[in-house]
Amino acid sequence: MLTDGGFWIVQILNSLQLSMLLFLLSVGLTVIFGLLNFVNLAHGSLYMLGAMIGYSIATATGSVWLSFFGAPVAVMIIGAVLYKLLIERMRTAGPMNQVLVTFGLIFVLMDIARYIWGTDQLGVTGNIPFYGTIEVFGQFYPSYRLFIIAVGLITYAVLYVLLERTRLGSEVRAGVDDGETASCMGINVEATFFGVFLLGCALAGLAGAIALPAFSATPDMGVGILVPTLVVVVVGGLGSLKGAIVGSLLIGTTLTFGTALIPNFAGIIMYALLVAVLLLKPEGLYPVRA
Amino acid sequence: MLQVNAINTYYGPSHVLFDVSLEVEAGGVVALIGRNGAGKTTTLKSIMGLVPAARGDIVYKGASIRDRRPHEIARTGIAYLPETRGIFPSLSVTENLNLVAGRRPGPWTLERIFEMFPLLKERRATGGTLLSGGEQQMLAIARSLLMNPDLLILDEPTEGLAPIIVHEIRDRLRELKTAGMTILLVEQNFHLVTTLADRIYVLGKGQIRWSGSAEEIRADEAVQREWLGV
Ligand SMILES: Nc1ncnc2c1ncn2[C@@H]1O[C@H](COP(=O)(O)OP(=O)(O)O)[C@@H](O)[C@H]1O
Ligand SMILES: [Mg+2]
Repeated sequence: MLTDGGFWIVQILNSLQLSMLLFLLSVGLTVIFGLLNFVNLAHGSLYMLGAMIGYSIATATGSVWLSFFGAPVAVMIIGAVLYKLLIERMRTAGPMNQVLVTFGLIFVLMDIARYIWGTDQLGVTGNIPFYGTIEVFGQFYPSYRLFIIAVGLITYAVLYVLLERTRLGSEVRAGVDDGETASCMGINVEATFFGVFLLGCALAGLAGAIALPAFSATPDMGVGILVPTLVVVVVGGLGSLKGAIVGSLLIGTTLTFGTALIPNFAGIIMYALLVAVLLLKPEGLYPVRA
Repeated sequence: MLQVNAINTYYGPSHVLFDVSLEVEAGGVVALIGRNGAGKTTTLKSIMGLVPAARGDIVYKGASIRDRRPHEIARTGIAYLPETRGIFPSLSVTENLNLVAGRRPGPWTLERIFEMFPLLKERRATGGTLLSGGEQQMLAIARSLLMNPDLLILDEPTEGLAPIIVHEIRDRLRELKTAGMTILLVEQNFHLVTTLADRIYVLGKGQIRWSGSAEEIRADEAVQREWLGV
């Protein structure tokens, strides 16, 4: 198996695909951590809702493409409601309260999803874009999974330009550096943060919607993805876009190759990586605040 | 232009400002001086809405700003330069400046700033915190001006800087005063204060202890001894 070049090509592509899903999730989570100092454990549940809502849109309209746009918008609206009801009030409540409340929220959202969509595995079969396989270095690989990789990379590029090359991006970075001073420059830091939060929710919804055709969706899928996402955020460094992409690639590769080579130890390798980073660079690989 | 009327400010339970009042007239330079811990920075933070005053009022251009939020206060034309200088480490020199450029119309443009601070032009692509302390303070002053403020509030602009930079900052402040800029200045450098300010307030343990002109405080050794430790 290990001397078979095809194995490596397929696993590398699988790693990239998992990494890009992790990136879409962790980038929202990390900026919310970095900007709002808010620990939102329910971020994984937004991914689950993205998949579920995507399923409903795709089955109701027959268009999977439409679900890629509708699900992020719907999840963004859910995020806005959560922000106004809970998060805004809990901004200064301290990390312990935030962890407890958003941990509880995971189960609330999971039960709501069970109530609406049931507990069966849901999947879409018809009308999947990029259906079929494509030859990559002599290996046949599902085209749709390459599409997931492309969505992740394009999202990274767009976010990079937004953050590094626009005035809005400067305002966000200034807010992460020092919110108090940023407000004295006339920047409405709260409004900026709200916008960033909504974008993070939309990306989580997008991740769920594009994961749906490749995998199946269940109400507990948000729990499984939460841990690796948190590990990415901590390894990459809170609030860092670069940290989110590098951390996602590291963790996605570790999990994929771990599962393929030593299935029982994949999770342990991820934690070992986490511990190693924490020991060597406690603020993560690319800390935003010095 | 700015009236602070008997404000009282707290950090949690600890009462820091007691009925502090002061007034800044348009075109004037007012200095607020006093020992470390007297409450100078807190007074400025109360004006900016960063640590809102619990009682008393702050009136700017005829309207109360006591309960406004910092970004709203900044947009009414008050530029505040914090003691920590507030240069954003993730932003380059140009990005630090562009953050405020064009928000309010006025005489200050990026070109004019680069004329007044040629050094910043040379270092425009440099990251904010790779600058020396003096360069950071120049950038902070430049950024405040680029906000085209009607009132410039400075918290210890010369603190910890080499004498040559202190001279440069003094010259810039003189130029601004001549140009008619209204300034509220917190500063430990007694010489700088007495050569620049039209009116001086002395803060001690959270209360205004004395106010008067530069000549008056130079002559009043008792005030200097008791509240400034000169
Ligand atoms: N964030 C804070 N929390 C609690 N107390 C503070 C805080 N900042 C300042 N103080 C206290 O308020 C008083 C006034 O401080 P400050 O306004 O910084 O004085 P100054 O600028 O004149 O040196 C001091 O006794 C200081 O210890
Ligand atoms: Mg001070």
